[in-house]
Amino acid sequence: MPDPFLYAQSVGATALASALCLAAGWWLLMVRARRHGKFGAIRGLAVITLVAGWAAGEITLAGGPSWPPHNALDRWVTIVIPTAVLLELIGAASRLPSVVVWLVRFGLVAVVPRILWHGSVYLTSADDAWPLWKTSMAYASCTFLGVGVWWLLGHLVRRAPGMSVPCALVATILSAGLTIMLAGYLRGGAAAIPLATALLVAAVGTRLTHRALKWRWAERRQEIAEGVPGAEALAVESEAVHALVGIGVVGLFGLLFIGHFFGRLGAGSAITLLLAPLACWGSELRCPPWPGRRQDESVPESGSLLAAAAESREDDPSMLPGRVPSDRPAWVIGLLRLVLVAIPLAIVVFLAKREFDRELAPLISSVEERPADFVATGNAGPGRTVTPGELVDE
Amino acid sequence: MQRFSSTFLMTLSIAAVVGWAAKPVIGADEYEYDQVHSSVSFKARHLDISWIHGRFNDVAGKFVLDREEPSKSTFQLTIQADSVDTANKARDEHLRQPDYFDTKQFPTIEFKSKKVRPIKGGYAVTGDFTMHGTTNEITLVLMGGKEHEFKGTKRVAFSTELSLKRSDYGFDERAIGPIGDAALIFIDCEGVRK
Repeated sequence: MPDPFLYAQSVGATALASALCLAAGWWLLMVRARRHGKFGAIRGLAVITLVAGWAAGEITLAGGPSWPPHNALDRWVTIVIPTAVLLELIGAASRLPSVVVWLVRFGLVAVVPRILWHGSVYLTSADDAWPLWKTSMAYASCTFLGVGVWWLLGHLVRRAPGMSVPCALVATILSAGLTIMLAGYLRGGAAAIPLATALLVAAVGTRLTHRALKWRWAERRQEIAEGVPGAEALAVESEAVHALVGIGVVGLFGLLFIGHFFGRLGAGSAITLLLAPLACWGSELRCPPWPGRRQDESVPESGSLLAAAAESREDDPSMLPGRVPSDRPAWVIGLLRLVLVAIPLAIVVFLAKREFDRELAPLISSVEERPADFVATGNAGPGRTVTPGELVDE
Repeated sequence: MQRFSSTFLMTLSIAAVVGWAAKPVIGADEYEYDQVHSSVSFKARHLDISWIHGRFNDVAGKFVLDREEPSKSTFQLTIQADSVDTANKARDEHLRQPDYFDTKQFPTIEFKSKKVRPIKGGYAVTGDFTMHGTTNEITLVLMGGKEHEFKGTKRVAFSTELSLKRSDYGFDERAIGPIGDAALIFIDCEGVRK
């Protein structure tokens, strides 16, 4: 049975651990930014904030990791997510070319199905239910989808970093968890809760930290001989959000994979949920200019930072690769993205709820309904025989 | 030529020894689980007020029964967890999910005997019981063993009941709640001699 109190505890533990981690890292970053005008460590802080919160929430939820991993969800917890985190931390600490980083990221997504399928009927089926060609096709399709979603979301984050993409991912992860639960796999669905919470706290915290650093830098920039270019600060935020989104995508991909191949999450629902965050790209479609706003007043979603950069006229916003200036206010872009993502999510959850009501709800509610049934049929209740006389009296 | 002959003879000798070792124990009968006349069923508490009954429809097994030296007898049973049947399709699907049997990850429930000793009216069979990826040693008290020959086919049958705690086999404790930790398993097995 679902345990809302336990889920609330998990959310609380996640938020608390993330907040503590963020507070400690924030102080260190402020010192570093004041002395050196460097923002780069934000990416690492974002990742550590996410993993600290997620670990605390997961431990609260499941009582700690199971080693050696017993099933696919255990492997997701102990191998897949930690690997994604490690990858992003290495990416944050090193100066590897982006091509190399992307190749490693793609490699991770490519091995996730193998890790999650380990020891299951999909690899060891003796009755030809899952022949090699079928397994290979499923493997290739999943990998293609996972890599595609990660790359496209990463590209979107680079165009316009901000809160909307992580928020869309949080909504998608929560919807995936709810859908998996409604399909009958409670523990699998619940695993989404700490991940989504940690992602949200890390994204918000990164944004706030970045703003604080920017203000601190703005105060001191006259004193720094070689000031930090605003576009570099913007790129740093982009990288931090990108790292969070990467872990979120790997987590979402793994959860949906488990929900579909080990639970009863339908392929259509799983694919829709995986692709839903890509609806954020809808905001990038060209639209007529926003009423009352001139073209040169454009503020992209990460408005404050770019605005600051634009005000200073010291840097070129176009330094951020692929960024396309928008003529809509930041909040409109963010809201539009979230609405676009919410539509497929709402449809999937609605359908899952309908199926739950039809198939699984009767298993839960039958006991509660029994007294009403007895009243409706004239039966006096369990363990008692109704005599013909009683029925006549009624 | 002489060298070839000696090699040939040695090969034959080894083959004979290996062949002898691989043969079933003399005096033992090998039986195959008869799916038509056997059943593996279970019942578990629901909300601690009633019992849910179910069965596994796909079971295979074999046993070697040595009446003269019972310790040489062996028993083996393989249950396809996917074949769980509680007379409710939705519940069966739910039971196949990772919160319960996790049949995609752990497709079979198996028993393999390690030690057999005769008791009054049957055998006490100690062996490894593997369910949900966890193996524990248990002892089955097999009652019966009566033989019957019909149209040249020899049959023998055993029955046993055992109680297991699902928490001993790695089931999610939070999913145990409404259904109860303990499950009673009933095995009525009829074997057909090969």
